[in-house]
Amino acid sequence: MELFDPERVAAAANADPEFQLASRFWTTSIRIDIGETPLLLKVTDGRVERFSELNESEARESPWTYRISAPAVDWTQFLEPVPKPFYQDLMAGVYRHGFVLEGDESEFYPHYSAADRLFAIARSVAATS
Amino acid sequence: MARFDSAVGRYTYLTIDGTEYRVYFEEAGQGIPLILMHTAGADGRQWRHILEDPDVQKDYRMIVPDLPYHGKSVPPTGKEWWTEEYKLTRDFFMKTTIALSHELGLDHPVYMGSSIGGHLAGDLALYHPEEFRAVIGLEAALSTPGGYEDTLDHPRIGNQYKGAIMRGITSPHSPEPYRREAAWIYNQGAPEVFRGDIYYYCVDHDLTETVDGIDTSKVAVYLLTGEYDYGSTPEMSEEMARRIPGSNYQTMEGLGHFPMQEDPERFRGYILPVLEAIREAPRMPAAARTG
Repeated sequence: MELFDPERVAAAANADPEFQLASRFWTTSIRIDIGETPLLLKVTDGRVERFSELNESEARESPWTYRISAPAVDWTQFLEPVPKPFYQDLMAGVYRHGFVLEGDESEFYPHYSAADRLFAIARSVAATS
Repeated sequence: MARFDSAVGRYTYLTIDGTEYRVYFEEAGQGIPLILMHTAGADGRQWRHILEDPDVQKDYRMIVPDLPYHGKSVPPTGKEWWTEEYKLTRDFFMKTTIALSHELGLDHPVYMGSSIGGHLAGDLALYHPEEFRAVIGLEAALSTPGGYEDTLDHPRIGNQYKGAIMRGITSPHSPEPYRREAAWIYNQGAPEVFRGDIYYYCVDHDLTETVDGIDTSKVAVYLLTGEYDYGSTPEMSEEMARRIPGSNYQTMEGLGHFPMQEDPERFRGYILPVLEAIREAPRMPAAARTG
């Protein structure tokens, strides 16, 4: 992954006080497509167990219940330390850029704060990558 | 010696469509009356910084209500509101604002609001220009369809979601404590109220076909929108201004959907000149306002 190291993001999230508070009760498997690169985010009871690229067989098995995707160019803008307008938030990207959310909203939306914090951490990691 | 803010709060009673509402409002300053309206699912706390601004206080008597069902304005006791789906309509929103003005005896106040409050600026200018000397729409647009969703009032999705997405519509340039304060207020409203207010924002407010009826010789119209507002974008507000001859529009760089709350220092750089222009403008004769 060129934009950021997802395993560094996972480690930083698990050590982050705000993420720990926001992610309580969050158990999920989310596929995150950074352009053509698919990642799997697996969280159990608020702890990130895995954040790494999916291999081809995993991609076929579809071990996720929610999916976030956008072209790489949009992720690049989204991960800027101070994003340009409408890249400051996932929902902003859905409304005004190329981000797509797929899956059961009532599963993902209750944990939006945790996801938002995870992406803020990804911004920090991307800035030092 | 205790340290006090200068804003003071109290309650008044407004009768709208035969139902009495106990409505909370705060006020500060003296001079030209200025009604300040909050956003969907929020309350008057969003204006706390402006209420304390001495440069506004010296020329304006600011009035900041909590709409019925919001903040300290609890639902009415005279109707079984719990048997009806809560929806903020354009008609109720306009009647409440005008009833407040009349009840307090305000003389052709200036009106300013953000988001739903910004949309109301356009509706008041079209339907009740005789009531106001100027309207200021923050984050206003002709229409903003597409966001009236069940997820905004769903038993499996708590208010944390509302706070989180509302923080996401602020600007990354705004001070983090104020962005968090904006989210904090959204974490607190009655669950059905935000969605009900969005009914007005996304459905019942639509000036697309009627905006040409706004006459700035009757009421001055100012529109300002934050650069980072993805709900009502600067382009959308600019389009509205283009359709209202004589109106004024400005993009507020580095601000989002809650300019008065998320970065009051940056906001005052935009709003003080507008308030000064309104103060300096000659009063329109009553005949012009009603004609």
